[in-house]
This record gives sequence, structure tokens and C-alpha cells, in this order.
Amino acid sequence: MDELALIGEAKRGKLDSFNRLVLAYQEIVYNQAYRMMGEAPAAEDATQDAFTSAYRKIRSFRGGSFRAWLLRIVTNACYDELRRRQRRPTTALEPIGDHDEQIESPHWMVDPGESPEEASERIELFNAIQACLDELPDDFRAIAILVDIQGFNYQEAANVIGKPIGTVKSRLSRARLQLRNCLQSFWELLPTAFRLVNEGSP
Amino acid sequence: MNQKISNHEWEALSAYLDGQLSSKDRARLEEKLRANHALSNKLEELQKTRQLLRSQPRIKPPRNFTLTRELVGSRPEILPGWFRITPALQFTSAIASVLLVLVFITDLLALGPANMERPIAQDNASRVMEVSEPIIEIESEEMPVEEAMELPLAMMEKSISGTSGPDEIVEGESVQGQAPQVEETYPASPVMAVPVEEKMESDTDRSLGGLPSQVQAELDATQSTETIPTDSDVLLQQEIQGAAEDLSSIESFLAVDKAWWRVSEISLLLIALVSALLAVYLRRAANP
Repeated sequence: MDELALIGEAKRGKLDSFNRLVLAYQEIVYNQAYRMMGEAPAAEDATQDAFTSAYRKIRSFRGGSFRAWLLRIVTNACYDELRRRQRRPTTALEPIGDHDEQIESPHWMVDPGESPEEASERIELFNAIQACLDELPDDFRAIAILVDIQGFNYQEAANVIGKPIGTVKSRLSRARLQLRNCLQSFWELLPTAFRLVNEGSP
Repeated sequence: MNQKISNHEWEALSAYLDGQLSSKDRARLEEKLRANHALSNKLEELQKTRQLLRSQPRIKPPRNFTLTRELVGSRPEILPGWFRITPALQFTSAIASVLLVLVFITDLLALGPANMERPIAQDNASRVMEVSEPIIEIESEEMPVEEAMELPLAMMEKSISGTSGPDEIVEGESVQGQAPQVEETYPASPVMAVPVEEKMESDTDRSLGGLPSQVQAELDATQSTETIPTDSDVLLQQEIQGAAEDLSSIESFLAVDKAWWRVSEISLLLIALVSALLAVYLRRAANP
């Protein structure tokens, strides 16, 4: 069954049809949430809240990109949670955030075909990129994730954040510049192909 | 080698990588890149950063995020067939509303004539009585008090002023010849007839010193015979009764008519409201 038919049935209250949409989009929604929140539990909560909210609001979906509509909901859910955390900061049970900290290695990151060294380097690079993303302002981070990690074009990203394309261009360039500067501190972790020409000198 | 790059140049480089520059801006930037080696190095750095981010694998969700009824609460499913009748309900509501307005306006306009019917009917009834009045004057001298009380006062006054009084009779040529005529032209109302008769008797007694006993006897005989109900009295009563029946039939017709208007208005109002509410509910269920 095509997406429009599933959306139509979901609008009429068919939960099974909506769940088929959930299965189709949960990976991209979870990735957005994970990159925005920087941790798995918060990403899970944001993803579940986003799908629950999407089901309740699906009748307000007027067409267009359903993917963009879902990502807008989950991005806004992440903004809300991040703002709430800023108002009421909590202490994590396990310290995370600094570049040289021990960070969990989720099961999905383990690739049975690669050596332990390769796996370790990949996980470290993943964590380094996430650490740099976490340092970005929320608005910049959302755009960088949408365009450079999720692979959205400018127009779709603009639809997600509800801003003009010019805003997307501006925020993306600033986000990329900050990420470039941040990633240079992980120069030794970067694969050779991605090492910068003038390492150490932004 | 460390050349300052403005924000505008960074934005242009970033957009250039994504192919988001116009052909004019792209040509201008490419010219700059050929001339400025530092700028082309920055572009390369930015491109590597972009590639690094895009090389990142997708994270697999740790679990499915499918929803359950308990999670989302109870939102009743509506059968698709119900959504198809939404336009029909809207159309019904619109038609019923238009009809309601028309019926209401017609009712308002009809109520005017309906209210006018009552005076017209009453006027007809009084006209019937007016028509019968000369008959009363001519053929009936005495009339039941109840009927006479219903006659318009103006008509009685008119009758009085239009006839010659007892004084004229007394001053007339022959008392014997005039007396029956006087009796015939007197108003039919006994209310007025009684004092007039009394007055006449007193006047005649005073001026003539009383009528001859033969004339008085004839008068008494005439009066006694005319107090018996005649055919004209029956006709009069029938006409009055007929007028009253006409009035009651008009009133009953108007009462039935009004009830019909009310039933129509209430029915149309209910149809319009119910269909509109149902249509709104179904529409909200489809697109809140």
C-alpha cells in the first residue's frame, strides 16, 4: 500500500496503518533525535513522543513531504527537551561530553566484519562527530544534521525547520565552519581522506 | 596562508558545494577560487568536513516505536463510508437552512395578513349585522336585550338622529295616523326604545290628555302581536350565527395554519442543526 493511502487510513484512526508508517520512518526519525540529543535514552523518548504526537496530529497533515513533517515534529520535540534541560540541568549518572571520556558503544556500531582496531576507530570518530555536533547551537545543529547527515536538500530542510532557504544556507555554512574547526581537534582520529590540509590551523 | 574569510564567503563556499548558487554567482566564485589559492583551500576543507559528516552510517533504532491503543488513548475509528456522506450532510444542512430562512420570512409576512384577518372577519360580521339592522328597524320593534347590546353604539345613534322624534309626531297632523309610523321608524334597540316609548306616552298624555281608548287598544294589540318572533327574527339569528361560524372557521383555519408554520420551522431547524453538527463532527474526525 502506498504512503498516501496509509496516511489516509491513519487519518481515519487506523492505528495499524500509522504503525506501518512508523516502521518506514522510525530510523530517520530516531537518527535525527539521536544527533540532536546526543544520547540514546533521550533519543528514544523524543522519537516515541514524536510518533505519538504525529498520530494525534496526523489529521492536520495537508500533504507534501510526510518525512519532512515527521522530522519537524521530532526536531521540535528535541528543542523542547533541550530547553527544559537548560532550565533544569541534571547530572548524568555516567560522565559524557568531553572528548576523552568513555562513551558507550551501542550494539549497532559493532560490525562483525571489521577488526577491533577499525571498530574502535569508527566508534571514536562517531563519538567525535557527535561531540562536535553537541557543541553547536540547537538551530545550527538541526540544519547540519538534516543536510549533511540525513541528506536533505535545502528546500526540504527549510520545510522541516519552517524557515526560508536563505536561513538554511546561512545556518548551514556557519554550522559547517564550526564543525570544521571542532573536528580539527580530532585530527588523529580522522581517516586520511578527511584530514584537513592545514591541520591545527583553522 | 591564513587569510580571513568573511561569513559571506563561507556561505558562498557552502552553497557552492551543495550546488545552490545561481549560475552568475557560481561563475564569480569560481573566478575567485582560481585567483585565490587560500580560498580554494578553505573550500577543500569544507568539502572534507561535509564528506565526513555524510559518510556517517545511519544509527539503527534500538527498538520499534509502533504505537498501541494504550499509548495514544482511545480515538475511535470511523468507518470510511461515513466520510462519504459528509458532503451530503453539508448540502442537506445548507438546503434546510435556506428553506428555514424562506419559511421564516414567509411566516413573518403571512402573520401580518393573518393578524389582519381577524379585524376583517369581525368587520364582515358587523357588516352582516348592519345589513340586518334595517330589517330590525322596519319589521321588529322589540329585540332581545342581549342582541341589542352587541350592536355598535354609533349605528344606534345614527338611527336615532335619522328618525323623527316624538315631539315631531306630537306636532304632526294626525296622532292616529302617525303613531304606527313612529313605532316603525324607531330604532330597534329596546335600550333606546323603552325611554322613547315612555317619553312618547308622557308627551302625548301631557299634550293631548291621553289617547282615546280605542287607539290605545289598537296600539297594544299591535305591540302584542309584534313581540312574537317572526321569520325575519329567525333570519337575523341565522345570519348572526352564520357570521359567528365564519369567524370561528377563519380562526380555526388560522390556528391550523400557524401550527403548520411552527412545525415546519422547527423541523427545518432540527434538520439543519443535526446535519451540520454531524458534518462538522465527521470533518473534524477526518481533518481536525
